[in-house]
Amino acid sequence: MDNPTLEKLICDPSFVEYCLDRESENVTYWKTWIEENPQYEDLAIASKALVLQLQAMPSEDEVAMARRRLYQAIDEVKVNQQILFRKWFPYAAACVLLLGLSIFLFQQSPDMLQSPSPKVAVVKQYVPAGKYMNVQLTDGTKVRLGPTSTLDYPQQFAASERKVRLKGEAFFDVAHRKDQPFTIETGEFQVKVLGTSFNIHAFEEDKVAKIALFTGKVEIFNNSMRLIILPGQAFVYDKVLDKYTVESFDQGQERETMNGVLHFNHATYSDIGQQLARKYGISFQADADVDLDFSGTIAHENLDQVLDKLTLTTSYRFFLESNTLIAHKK
Amino acid sequence: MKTHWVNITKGDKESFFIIYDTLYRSLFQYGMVIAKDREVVKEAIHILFYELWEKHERLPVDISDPKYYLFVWLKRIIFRQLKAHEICFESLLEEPYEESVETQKIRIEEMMERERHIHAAMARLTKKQRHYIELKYFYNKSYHEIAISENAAVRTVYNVIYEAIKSLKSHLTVILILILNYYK
Repeated sequence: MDNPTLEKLICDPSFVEYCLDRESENVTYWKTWIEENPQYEDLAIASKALVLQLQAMPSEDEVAMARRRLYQAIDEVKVNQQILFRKWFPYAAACVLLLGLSIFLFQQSPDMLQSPSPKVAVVKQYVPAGKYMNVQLTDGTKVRLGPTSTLDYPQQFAASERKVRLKGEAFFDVAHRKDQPFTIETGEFQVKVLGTSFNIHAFEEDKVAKIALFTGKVEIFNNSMRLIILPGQAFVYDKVLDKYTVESFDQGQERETMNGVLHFNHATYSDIGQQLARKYGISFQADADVDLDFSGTIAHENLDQVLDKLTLTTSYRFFLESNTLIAHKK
Repeated sequence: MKTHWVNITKGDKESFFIIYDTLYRSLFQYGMVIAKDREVVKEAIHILFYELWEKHERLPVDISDPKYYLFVWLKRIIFRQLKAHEICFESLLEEPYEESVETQKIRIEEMMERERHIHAAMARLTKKQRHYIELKYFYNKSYHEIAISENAAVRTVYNVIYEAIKSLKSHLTVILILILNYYK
């Protein structure tokens, strides 16, 4: 380069690659160039410094978007705190719950109207309790459906989008298609992806819904919120408090879950009952009198072993009565 | 800064956003040094301020340097996030994090100083220049990509960016020395 200046260097794409340590060819080239032209060393360092400095700046759009997102999130903090406060008054809490339910119904109905036109046949895949099922969709997307879960998907996807509906839990490995985003509708929110793999736990009857992302990027949204999670992050939504958090999760554990291993962390009786009902196809009735706080793993054991395990490690005796789970205080 | 901090602990949203607006860009830069991934950094700053607001009633009122407090908090969040992403820790170990509190505070001050100057210099660019600089250097787009997305000739894109850098340079002579010392 003749008569190099700061702007000439910075405008040179290969110099920028060198600054960012990107392509070894460019890196070597510029290192040699600096060695051969020591009089320009300071200039090269200053140019590199400015490139790196610019790299680390947020754009105006990013600043504005981040601010908007925070502003909305903060409003939610306020609402959540109010709801937490109301929790002290059982009647009020019940109202909140009912209100929440009716909002969900409202939110769902427009979605139903929008569902694919009746001409396209919709396949309804239901997996019974105790079973897992692998489904491959026409676009190459692989889905592993958990017990008592339902997946609705069109026999043929529309050209502009791929839309499915999930009740329950599933592992998705979405085939990458840039111009045909993949959207999963669950009761409370929609998940939009381009190509990625993740677990969704979204049973209607569960208090908590969860999306755990392994690779790629997904966008989660409904009428009131919209956010993006990154690999290693899980979106956890508490339906009762109407509050969501983004947290990190144990990838090993999460993968095992979709292979039928149950992990409990301070689980209540209804958590355990719910999960066992799905895995072993038994019935279960929530019982507020059973006060449990169970942590542990249930792998591929038969039901008798599991009941023994629970009986041994808790202060309750677990047994089956006409295929229904019962817990009695010892 | 301290007054705003005390106001935040009392639940003053205005002070909260004043601190946010004052520190956002500097926190971003600081985060980029650690994480080198703008999505991770944006997420971490969001988490930082979300938690700050959520906990505002329980925050310590009497801290000498709220700014430093927030930078350190951000660093911890980023480490937490990176750990979740299973990014190898070797790259983190290269950074001299075990500096004394005073050194760290000086570094933060210097960074904010640099950021202020560059931001001011960027503000003097035309809208178009700023936009092209963002595309080229923030998002690493090639001249060709920018030409396509902005519906302009490659040559034009190059010229706009060249002039923008020239303008930045003329407004940054003082600060360039500071930057130089930092990266040397």
